Amino acid sequence: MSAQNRAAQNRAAQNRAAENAGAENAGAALIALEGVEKHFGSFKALRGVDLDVARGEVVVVIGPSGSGKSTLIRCINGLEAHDAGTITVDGIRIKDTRDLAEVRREVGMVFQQFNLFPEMTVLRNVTLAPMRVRGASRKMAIDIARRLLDRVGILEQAHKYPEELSGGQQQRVAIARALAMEPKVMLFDEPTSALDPEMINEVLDVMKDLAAQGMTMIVVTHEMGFAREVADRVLFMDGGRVVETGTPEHFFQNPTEDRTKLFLSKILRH
Amino acid sequence: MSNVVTPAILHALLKGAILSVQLSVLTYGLALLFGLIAALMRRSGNVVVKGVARFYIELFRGTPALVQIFFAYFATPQIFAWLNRLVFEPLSGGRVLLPPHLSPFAAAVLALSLGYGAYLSEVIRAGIESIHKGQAEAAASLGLGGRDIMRFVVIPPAIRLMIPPFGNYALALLKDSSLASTISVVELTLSTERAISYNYQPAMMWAAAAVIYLALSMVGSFLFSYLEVVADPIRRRRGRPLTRLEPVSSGDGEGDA
Repeated sequence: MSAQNRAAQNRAAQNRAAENAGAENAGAALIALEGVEKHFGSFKALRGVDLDVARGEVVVVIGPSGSGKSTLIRCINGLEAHDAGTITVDGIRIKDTRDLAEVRREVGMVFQQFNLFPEMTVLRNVTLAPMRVRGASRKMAIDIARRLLDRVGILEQAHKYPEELSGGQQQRVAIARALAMEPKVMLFDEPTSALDPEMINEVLDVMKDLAAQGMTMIVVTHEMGFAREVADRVLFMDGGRVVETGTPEHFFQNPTEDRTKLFLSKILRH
Repeated sequence: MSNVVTPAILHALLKGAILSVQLSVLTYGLALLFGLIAALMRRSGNVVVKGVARFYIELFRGTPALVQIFFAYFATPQIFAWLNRLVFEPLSGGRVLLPPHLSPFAAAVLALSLGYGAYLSEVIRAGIESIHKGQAEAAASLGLGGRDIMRFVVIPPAIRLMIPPFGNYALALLKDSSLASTISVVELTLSTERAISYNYQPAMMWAAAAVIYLALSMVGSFLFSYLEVVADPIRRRRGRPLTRLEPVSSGDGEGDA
């Protein structure tokens, strides 16, 4: 076991201790992963990942395709069931389906392909979950939806259907839809990778805004500018492991691991 | 000419056409029900349940509709008699539960609905499975339960995809309903045959029957085209101005209508 993993585990232990003591201070880990493994048949997508994310922290996960970044965040809300290790979200350990439903209410997720519901208007996309899952009244759900759609700059499209919107607009609706559940954490799985270049910034701006307002976020992305500007911590993954982690300054200026340097040299060349 | 197209002959054709439509509509309704059940069973995690559904689908897709109809009409009296003697009488203390035979109409409905149910179950299954997994994942990640995901997220777009093949099978069924003439259901085909034995005008009468089938098919075809429009939220709204957000409740209600 590397020194890094031990350090992560020590941190996790401290955080657990803090939570057991009932402390809700900003330093307490909202998400804690310990030795998480995930296999797809014989392919090991995650080979023992440890990660603590504090309240309000923005963690950006980067790495080559197939490195396990998407699998990592998909395990956090149980879209993929992990095979070993523990995942704790806001004190709830993901074990069985009952925990999953509870965790998913607290964890918002934004997908690369938006995954809006095509048969529903934008407004209905955003109000569905608060009404069905939180039991919000129609009026309450619409109020929340209007506020959030306004926040992502798309209120005037509320009665359109997803396919009538541009990709960037659809992704902003998807963010509003996730926020409508008032999650404690937002997970972003390559939210701008399916967008035309001119639409990337409108989505990143919404995400920056969210980060500035203190949302806890884990973002898988290839947008290095976003990582530099917004991340509290950058995580580099390769081959199902966390290879290197640090502040954006450390990460982009003096990466220590060779694999990180190689990756950065490839993507930052142009 | 007066004895060629008599009111009695027109009346017979009309009655035959009405019976064809009744037979087809009733059969199609039952076929949808059987198809839905079989599709749900095929998606079950239970191997036995799944196996039963597969067996049913393969059996009815793999045998001719005419054989199924003959079986339902000519074989059931024998089978019902066995079942009465061996199962129902001993269990119910001497009472005979199954009728001696099925009426021709009932036999035709039973055979055709089971046969078309097998086809429709595959349409339903294909529709459900063609909905992108990401939709269900997005719903799950919002905390929706399995039933809500099916009801709100998977089924509505799946139905939209099912409508064209549903239409195909509806028209195929309307035409296959003519097979019921072989077991003496006096639907359009058999009433045409009988009318010809009165007026000896096969060319005219079969042409008339064909035109009536065609007209009925076109009605069905239009109906399913209309359903396609209804099921498509954007085409449904076409021609109407986009509702603005201000009158939120009325605007949303209109969208749902």
